[in-house]
Amino acid sequence: MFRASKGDAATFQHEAVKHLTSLYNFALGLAKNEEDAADLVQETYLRALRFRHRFQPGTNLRAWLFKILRHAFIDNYWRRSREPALEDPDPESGSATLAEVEGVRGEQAGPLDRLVRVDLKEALEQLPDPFRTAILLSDVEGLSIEEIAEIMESPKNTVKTRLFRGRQMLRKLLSDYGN
Amino acid sequence: MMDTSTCQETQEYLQEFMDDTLAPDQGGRVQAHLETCQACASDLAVQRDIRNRVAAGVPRREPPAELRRKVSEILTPKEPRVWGLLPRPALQWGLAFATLVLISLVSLAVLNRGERIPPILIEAVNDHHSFVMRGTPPTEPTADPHQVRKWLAAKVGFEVDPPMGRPADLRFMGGDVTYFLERRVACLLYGKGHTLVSLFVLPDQGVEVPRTGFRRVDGLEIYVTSREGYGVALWKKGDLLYTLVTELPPDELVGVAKDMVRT
Repeated sequence: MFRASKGDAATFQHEAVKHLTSLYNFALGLAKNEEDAADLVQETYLRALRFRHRFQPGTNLRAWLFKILRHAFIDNYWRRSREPALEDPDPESGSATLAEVEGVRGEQAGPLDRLVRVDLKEALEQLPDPFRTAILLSDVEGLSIEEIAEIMESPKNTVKTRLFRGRQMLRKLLSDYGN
Repeated sequence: MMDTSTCQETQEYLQEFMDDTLAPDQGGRVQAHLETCQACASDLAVQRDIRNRVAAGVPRREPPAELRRKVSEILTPKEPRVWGLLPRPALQWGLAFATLVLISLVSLAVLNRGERIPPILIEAVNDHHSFVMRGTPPTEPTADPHQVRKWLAAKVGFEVDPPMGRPADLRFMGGDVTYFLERRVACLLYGKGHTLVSLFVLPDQGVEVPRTGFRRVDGLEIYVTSREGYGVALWKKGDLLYTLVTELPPDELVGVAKDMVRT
């Protein structure tokens, strides 16, 4: 079996664990509860270890790990989907598909007026996943547009649009909270 | 009168302006426009306000101690296991060397023939490894294959009859669903002693399978290989493809596959 040297493995593991807190917080934002977030983080490290040979030393390890976590989140969504759409989805049916997780539906979201007014945590949870993901990565984790584009495997302009519209949606949700 | 082209440029580079990553001349143009355009200035104010509120309002939480412990355990190198055994060091090195030679020979043969590893084998092994490392029950934990059949039909959109093998030998543990090759895949989980056996079932339409290497076992066509320390068996029945992954020794793997194919 071809393996990296022990030194390489130890270095990788030492560097990977440094991002645990960031990964956990990102997972909390996606999964919305601690138990699922912890599972997601464990799955991320399992996959990172398994595919360690695909990581190029010297490149952005943090972005690589975040990308793995996001993929794990999407895969997990499939496992837990209660009403998988077997045909093209009916937007009113309440069932969800990968397209919806990836935000095709979200990017075509209706007028902001339909959104319920809530506090910040609830407002973030109400955002479609791609918008919430972009905002968490940018405004909470402080990643650059380039890093977010790499993690979300989207063009930079798409990331910028998601940030802009996502924040607009949040503003609408938060504008009358507390009144 | 609003200069629409400058509004457009401002909107396009608003994020970079907020991050202060624009080149000086471009940043200067955007700044100048913001000083004269109320609409764009308002947009910027909203974007900054929300960004600051999110940054300040989303608490940064430390991972629980238990999660730290589990991650540390995951990242700690483990004693490699070979076909379900815990080898002594001499045996381990001997097996590793033999495996290295075998893999080199096989790789040369494969390279010479220009064959690639079908993605179904890679994905099934990856998912099985995840099950092994997680050690948690399947999403539908039950010893009743009828219950799993019904549950899976609602999840994956095709009928899967869990092959039961020899019940005295192979313990059915439940069902799960995964997603690879752009389709939902049914997972059936079994235990043989302390060893996990995963069976992945999916419609064979459009799925690349190995071109060669199928062997005839008691009149049945089964493909057997190993990948990353796991044994893999693959066969086709009707319009479904079955991929079995486990750490069982090769002869036991073939035995389980045979029993399942015959079910």
